[in-house]
Amino acid sequence: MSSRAIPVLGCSCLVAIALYLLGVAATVFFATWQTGLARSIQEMEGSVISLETEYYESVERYSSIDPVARGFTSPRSVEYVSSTGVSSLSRADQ
Amino acid sequence: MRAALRLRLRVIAALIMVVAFLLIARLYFVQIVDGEEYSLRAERQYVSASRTIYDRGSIYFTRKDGTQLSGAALGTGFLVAIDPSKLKNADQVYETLTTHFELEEEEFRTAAAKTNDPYEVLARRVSEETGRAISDLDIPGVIIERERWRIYPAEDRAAQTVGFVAYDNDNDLAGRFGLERYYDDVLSRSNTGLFGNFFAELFANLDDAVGNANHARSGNLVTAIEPVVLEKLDQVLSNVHAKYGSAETGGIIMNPKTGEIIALQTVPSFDPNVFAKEDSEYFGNPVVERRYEFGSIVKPLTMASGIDAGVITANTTYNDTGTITLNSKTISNFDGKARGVVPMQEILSQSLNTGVSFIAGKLGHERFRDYFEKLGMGAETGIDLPSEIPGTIDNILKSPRDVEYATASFGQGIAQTPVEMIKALGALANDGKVVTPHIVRSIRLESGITKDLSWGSPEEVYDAESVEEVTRMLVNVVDHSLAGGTVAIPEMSVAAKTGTAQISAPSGGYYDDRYFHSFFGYFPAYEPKFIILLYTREPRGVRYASETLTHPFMELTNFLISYYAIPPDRVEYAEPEE
Repeated sequence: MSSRAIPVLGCSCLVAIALYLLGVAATVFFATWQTGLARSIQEMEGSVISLETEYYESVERYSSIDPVARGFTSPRSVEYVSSTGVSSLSRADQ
Repeated sequence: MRAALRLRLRVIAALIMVVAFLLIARLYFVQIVDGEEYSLRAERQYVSASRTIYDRGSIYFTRKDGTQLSGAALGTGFLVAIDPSKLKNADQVYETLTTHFELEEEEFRTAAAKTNDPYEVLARRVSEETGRAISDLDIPGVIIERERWRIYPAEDRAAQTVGFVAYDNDNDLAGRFGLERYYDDVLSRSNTGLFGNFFAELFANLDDAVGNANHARSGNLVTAIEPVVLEKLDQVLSNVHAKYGSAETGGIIMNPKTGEIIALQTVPSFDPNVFAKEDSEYFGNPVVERRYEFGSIVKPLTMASGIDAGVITANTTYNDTGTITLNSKTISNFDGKARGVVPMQEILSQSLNTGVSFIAGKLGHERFRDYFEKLGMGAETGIDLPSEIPGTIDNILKSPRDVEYATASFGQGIAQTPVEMIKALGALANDGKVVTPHIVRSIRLESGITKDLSWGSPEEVYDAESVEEVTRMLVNVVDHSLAGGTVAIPEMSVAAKTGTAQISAPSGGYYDDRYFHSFFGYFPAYEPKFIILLYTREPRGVRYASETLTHPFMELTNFLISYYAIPPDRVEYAEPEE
């Protein structure tokens, strides 16, 4: 073994160890990140479900309202007009 | 140089030996000294993990504006358990816990007394806030673990259609009813841990990601069910069911052009969130699992067959004698009265059994049978719900007697599932073509791609002209005959027909006092957006479907017109103001 090989091997070992440690750190970082994301998604989904349950309850409540009992009556006459397409953008001079 | 190298090697060897010794010592403590405790902990982690990381695709309903709302999803919360051996003051722990959630004292005492068991569950599905509050207290011996579970926000609405997941005898958690069962392979997920090694998972699952077909097709279901319409349908059906004390009441609202089912419901229903406490008799879905003799709503199909075959026209007349005898069996009108010479319109307006028997006779056995088979009668519809059964038209398949065809012409002696019936009736609302009824519109794959499902091409049974003629007759029924024409909508053409059928007895023949009421209709009649089928089985104290289902049908029709802002088809439009 040449005398030059020893420092080269030593440096290689150091680089390998450094890479290994970097790999471990990256693994821990991404695992933590992944866990945090997964947890926050699950929590968000849980919140959405709660809101959706409230929505269903609201729909049930409003659908059961009898408008006649609330004093609403049918209109005496109804006139129908054909709808016209209205552009969402218009020029100022128009 | 060589001596220095040798020294370095010795130092490294010594270090390796020290580390190895430390590892062996640690292993000794882990495996021998504390082995039992770690084993229990590991088992506990496994048990809790299988619940905590429970994963499954969602089932979405679709609102009219296209936004999606969960019909089945995963709830998130906490599980509270104790390690009795680590509780310092059981009384104090009990008092603390009861300030956060309900807990039976006897149950807690029993759990706390099991000092040999390091894991005793006290409560499941504890809310986020409560779970976090208890966790923050950091009470020794109290274990808080994350938990997920299946939740059905719509509760008893469309419960038989959505279904639910449950354990079977082999302790496998999977979809057992409804869409949960039919699409179990799409909804089910492999259990992956919440706390994972990113790189380890990446490489471990690389093979799955590339080659696992199940992984590629798993996703979320997007149904055509509209939650507000579903709620309305549920309310209308519940009112009918309660008012007449029926054995069962059901309804389907479908887009006749595509076969997408917008809402379907049967009463009684159940809450799948607490299915263990509910009556299992109601878990199955009657709209695909039960067949009924629908009665007079079949008459428009006989009429369409007659017109399409060219054996009658709208102007054809026949002599109504009130009763006719075929193969020694007497067929009567509902009131037994004769009408004399009447046109075809009166057959539908007055629901004359002798009239449709006349058409069946004109058609002949083979053509009659062919039309009903083309409509899908006697076969499964192919709807995406499990346990579908076919209807039965054996009477006209096997018997050569005229009387069987005559009774089939007004919907007796043959039986269909409600879905099969709406599929056949849908031909009248879709230019004579039948479509495949279905619940799921698309699958949103985990990859993010949305895959639209194909439900086949519509199959033509009748000419569009023949169907339009029948539609005109059915509009006439609503405008002039139904409730004396009082429920007609002046601005909107609605085509509809009632059906009152006798219910067959197991011993043969029919019950004298039990009836099956049905009602179907579609609107706007000449460009239908919706077709509605309603039925109620064994309503009490009422004879005819016109009494039980006319107003519920019109209530749903008026609701759908308003909710979807369907433009009226029978008014003059004024010029819009500038």
